[in-house]
Amino acid sequence: MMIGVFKKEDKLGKKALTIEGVHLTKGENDILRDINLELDRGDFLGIIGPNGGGKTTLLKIILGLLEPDKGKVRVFGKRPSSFRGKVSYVPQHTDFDAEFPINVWNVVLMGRIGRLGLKPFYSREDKRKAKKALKKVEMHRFKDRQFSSLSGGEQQRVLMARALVCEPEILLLDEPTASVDEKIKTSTYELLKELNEKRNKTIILVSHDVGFLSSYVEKVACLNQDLIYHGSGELTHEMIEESYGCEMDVIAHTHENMKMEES
Amino acid sequence: MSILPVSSIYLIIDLISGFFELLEYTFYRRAMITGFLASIVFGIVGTYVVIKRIVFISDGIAHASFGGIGLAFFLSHYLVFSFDPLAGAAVFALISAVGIGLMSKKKVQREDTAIGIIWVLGMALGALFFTLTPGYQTSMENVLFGNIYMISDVDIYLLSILVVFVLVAVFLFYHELQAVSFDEEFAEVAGVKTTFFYLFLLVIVALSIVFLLRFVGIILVIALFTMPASIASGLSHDIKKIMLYSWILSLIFVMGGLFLSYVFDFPSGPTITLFGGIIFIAYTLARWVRV
Repeated sequence: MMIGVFKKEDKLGKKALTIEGVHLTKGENDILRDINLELDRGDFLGIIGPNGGGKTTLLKIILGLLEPDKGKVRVFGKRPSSFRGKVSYVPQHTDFDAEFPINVWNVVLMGRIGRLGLKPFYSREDKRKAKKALKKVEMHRFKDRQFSSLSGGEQQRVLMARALVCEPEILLLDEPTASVDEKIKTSTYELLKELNEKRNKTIILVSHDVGFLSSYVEKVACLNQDLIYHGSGELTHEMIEESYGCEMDVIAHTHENMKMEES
Repeated sequence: MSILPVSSIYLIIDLISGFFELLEYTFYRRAMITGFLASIVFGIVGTYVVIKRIVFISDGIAHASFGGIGLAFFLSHYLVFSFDPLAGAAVFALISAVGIGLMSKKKVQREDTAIGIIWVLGMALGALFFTLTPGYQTSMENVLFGNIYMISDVDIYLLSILVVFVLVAVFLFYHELQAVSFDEEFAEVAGVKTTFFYLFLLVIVALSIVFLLRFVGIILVIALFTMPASIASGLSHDIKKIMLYSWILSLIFVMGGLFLSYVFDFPSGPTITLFGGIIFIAYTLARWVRV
């Protein structure tokens, strides 16, 4: 029996994420086949794989937005649906209604909505944190702009700020640099690296960007219905080939940047 | 030829004096008060209907409520006690709102298919019950297209309660409703009970339809939930402002329509709808030309 004062974070334990035998089918097709994955607190995992490989679906299962047909998912030992507010995510910007009337400021504040409770207004602290997050992704001057009028890359950064103000323990990102130029891409990865190293946040990032991933991420897994995960940070040719299959040529242009043959 | 301008001046004077005359009638005064209260509901609830893209769901709920109205008429005729048709409408509207809401959430059936089926089942039940009740013709037309002569003081009290309820709900849950409308998945992950708020929104829509039934009728009600909010959403990107503009536009549609229906002795529901429709089409065409 442990008695004493723990820092809140310490209570969370070491295992950030456990996925055991997760299986999902749609009609006759397997979307995910027997997925097993374990992440420690502070891990930084990159998931690559072809389109339709189940990457977004896996993220949604981890978020508790989708229930798998078989298997179990635990986030710090709890079911995702009973661990709200501690896991946040950055969806793809293409998921949004292009006509929805909302400005950047209100999108970012939405990250604090779990702390709103029955109060009808956001607190000063909420607003301070939203402002800080917007500055962090260099979108503060777009504060009053209509969200849907922004470019894809700008929307991604706003969605990133929204996820940051949640102050999550685990951050999931679905292709956060899909429509972003090299400069922003670098600053996005630097920001994630900082969150991961200084704040010990667990990060799972889905991306096509094999080149960038391998230079920032500690661990890489490949998902194409099956999850191939070797636990180390190195991407091997076999891993990529195995998961992408015939789509190998799609990523051939990033071939040069990869550090896969380094070791 | 010179008679023309003079007669048109007479016509304008006639119209203005007619407007003041019309306030003399109790039922028109009631219609005006109802119209004012209704415009608040149309403005606020309509904004959510438009931005959350639940127009089809809302229309499905409206039509399904016809079954409950028919049942209430039928039971009132054959049983000793009488049922208020509004109560029947409320039961059917709420059941279909929650039913459609859960079905689309749990993905047990394609959403638009489910809506279409609930829609026609309500209509079929209503038609059946009405034809089994003697003297059904006028009462059926009243609920389908509205009849301001039928508005009672009780209806106005009920509508006032609904207005207060909608205002309080939107004040308290503005951010939750915004989050659920904009990005339901993120809202859920952040800790909002999204299923609750989605159903809550549909229940507000259902109650609004029921309480406005005598005013515009179940077939026309969706026009006023969509046209003002749709124009308003083109004028601003701020939900609160859209609600305000939508309320003002609803007020113009409702009052203008009531006035015209009085002047030309047209039925009020269709006149309000068509008056709004002309403005809506003009606005849409103007936008089209500009783009």
